[in-house]
Amino acid sequence: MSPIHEAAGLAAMVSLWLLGITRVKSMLWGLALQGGALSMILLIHAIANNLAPEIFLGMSALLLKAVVIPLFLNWSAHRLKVDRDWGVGLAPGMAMLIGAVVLMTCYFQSARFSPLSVPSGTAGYSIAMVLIGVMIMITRRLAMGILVGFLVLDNGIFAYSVTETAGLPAVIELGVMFDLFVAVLLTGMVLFRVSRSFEHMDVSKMRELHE
Amino acid sequence: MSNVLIGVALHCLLVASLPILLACVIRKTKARMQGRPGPPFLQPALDLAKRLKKSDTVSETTSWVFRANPLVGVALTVWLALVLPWTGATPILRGSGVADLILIVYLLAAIRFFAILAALDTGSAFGGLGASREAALSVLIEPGLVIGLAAASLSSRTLDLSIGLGSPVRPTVAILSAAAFLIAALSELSRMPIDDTTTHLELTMVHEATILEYSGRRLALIEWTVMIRTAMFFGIAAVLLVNGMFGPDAATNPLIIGTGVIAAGLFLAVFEGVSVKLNWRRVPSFVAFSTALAVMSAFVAAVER
Repeated sequence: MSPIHEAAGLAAMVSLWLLGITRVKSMLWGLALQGGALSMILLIHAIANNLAPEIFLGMSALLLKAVVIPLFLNWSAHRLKVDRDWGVGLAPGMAMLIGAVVLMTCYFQSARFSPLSVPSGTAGYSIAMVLIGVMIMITRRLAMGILVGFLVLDNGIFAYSVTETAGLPAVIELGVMFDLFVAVLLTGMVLFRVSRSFEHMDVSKMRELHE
Repeated sequence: MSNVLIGVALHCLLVASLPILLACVIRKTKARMQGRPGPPFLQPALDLAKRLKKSDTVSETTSWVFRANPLVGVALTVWLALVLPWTGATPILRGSGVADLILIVYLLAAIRFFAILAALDTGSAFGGLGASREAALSVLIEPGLVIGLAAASLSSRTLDLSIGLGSPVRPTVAILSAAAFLIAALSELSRMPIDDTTTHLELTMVHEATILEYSGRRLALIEWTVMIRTAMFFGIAAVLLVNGMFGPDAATNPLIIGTGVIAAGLFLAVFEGVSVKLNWRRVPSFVAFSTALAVMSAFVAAVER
């Protein structure tokens, strides 16, 4: 097993863990760990092939995904006074169990997702991360949890692009990452406004119209 | 040969002493956690001795099942404790295949089966309630137990737990399996987030409801069984964890594993001091964590081959 494979496996496991926990703080730790693991893939790849722009990309991914975004979300969770996110519909443990099945299915069907002639399983991990990200978005009650799900989904796409394709030019990757950061920043602001005008951010309570 | 004999003798000694020591440690720490000085350190052992001397009252409406249950429990539990490598010393009949994974799991299920039958046999309302809950719990935790142990034995390539738990296991598998096993053990042993062993409130008790009608000698036997099972489950989790982190040599060292068991007891007591009992409807979700961890552990073990 190569270090890249291990790091992708770790990132997929972390997304599964994110599916099963309810404390917002732990979710942010998990998000940071996942971002760190994905940046490590990029860095290992870049250092092995001695690509200067990719090393820079890896460093900025590490900074953004593992440090800045979790810290910012932690700050806004603190400001919004969000502590726990009890899910809707599916209990966290059950969701985790289904996520484990999804992860295994994706891994053993890696050949279907991978453009490479010898698939290593990392394609399965990335697709599983995308699917689990969607599952997190479905099963969360608070907008904060949904945002975490969105970031997991994005991490899955990122993992797919760094492990399965030759990669886009570093400028475009950087641009995408910066877009993501701006999106998170804006969502943080919007969430604050939402919680100030509705006094909660529970999406299950937002279905009915109020005066 | 003499090494094996010493190992077996040490194992038997630990089977006899470690569970009671663990019960004492848990009780004292729990009392301290609640801000009480607590009873003398050896109180659980003294209680056991006192109850063994007392005669017991058996309801006239019960059949032989009620009277046999404590004996079945003690016999099966002591047998499991003797053949499983949970103390770090050499278990009896090591490598002969009696500690087969499937056999062990279903002997554990047999103990629960008799406990449920005996609870129903009393005909009391609480007995039925406790039996129904115990049955639901055992259905829930079984996949986690089986898959978690199977992952470890897949990693070591033998179904015989007396060898499998002592051979090299990949750290990820060991940690995931041990975590799954500990969560399943909390439910199997009716410990805190699932069931409060010290409560006698009808709405919440699970294990207590099934043994409500026992007294004297038979109650002592049941309590002793629970002590052995607690130590055994913690011991297996400790062996898995130590094996994954520090290798098989450390996992077959009675001193390290014994310390691990006591440490697990301390951790449990502290955890019980700060946690609250789960809503009964949240229990399946909690147990599903254990199953999910076990499934992931099996996945990692299967991928590594």
